[in-house]
Amino acid sequence: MEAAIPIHWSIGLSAVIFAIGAVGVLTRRNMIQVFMALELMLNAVNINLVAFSQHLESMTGQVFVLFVITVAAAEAAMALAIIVAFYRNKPTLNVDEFNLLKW
Amino acid sequence: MVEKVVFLYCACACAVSAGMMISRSNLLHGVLWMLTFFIHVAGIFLLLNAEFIAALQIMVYAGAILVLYLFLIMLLDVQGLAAQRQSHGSAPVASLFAGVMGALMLVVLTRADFGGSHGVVTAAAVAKSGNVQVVARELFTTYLLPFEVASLILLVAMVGAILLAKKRL
Repeated sequence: MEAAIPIHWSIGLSAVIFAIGAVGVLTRRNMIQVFMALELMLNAVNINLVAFSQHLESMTGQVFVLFVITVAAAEAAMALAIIVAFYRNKPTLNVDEFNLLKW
Repeated sequence: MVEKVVFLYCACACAVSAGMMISRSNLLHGVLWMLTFFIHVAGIFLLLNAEFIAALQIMVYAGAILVLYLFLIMLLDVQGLAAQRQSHGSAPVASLFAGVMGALMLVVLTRADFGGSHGVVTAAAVAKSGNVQVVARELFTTYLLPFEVASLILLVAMVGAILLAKKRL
């Protein structure tokens, strides 16, 4: 059975989204926006995994997406808790000023 | 044909909302663009015959992670911070490098021949017993140990988040 969507389309989309996420991570100064761009990159990987799962007729890719989503949720919770804890000590979200461990 | 049109729509919407999401200086607008992004990614999962993952995408990403971000943005006074300069001085160079990386990935990946050995779960087999059942069988047999480890990761993250966000340890 021929797949409805060519695999190259999904992979191209995933590459574009990953690049947009990389731009966000590299250029934004706001800590929250950096983490939002990180979610973009994780989603790009998920699209890739699902596309290959369909292309290669194996469910392993979809199971891995499950694990990626789990780790992304854990990462978001931890990151945002760290931001809250940091904000108490120094009311800023600028990544350039995240230097409390320097002296 | 219809699938391709819908896929192209979802892909364009994904790219546009991703771009808007990282370029908004108002974080609330950014998070709302993130919502449209997640929903369109779920649409792409649906088109790729991954119904369970699509539902999970809506529930976990749009339902849980997004609300977490919204909470944080409303908790901290980030609207005042939005007046500051948003990007680094080295932003053009960084975006140039990321753009080159994306272009290279596009060129290489769209020309590659993805042959490979095929698995046993054909589209007909999935259509017979349903996507959820097929994923669950794989998850609870081959990947049972990683599944348990994933639940442990969630537990550790929960304890860690409570501990870190507490006022006094």
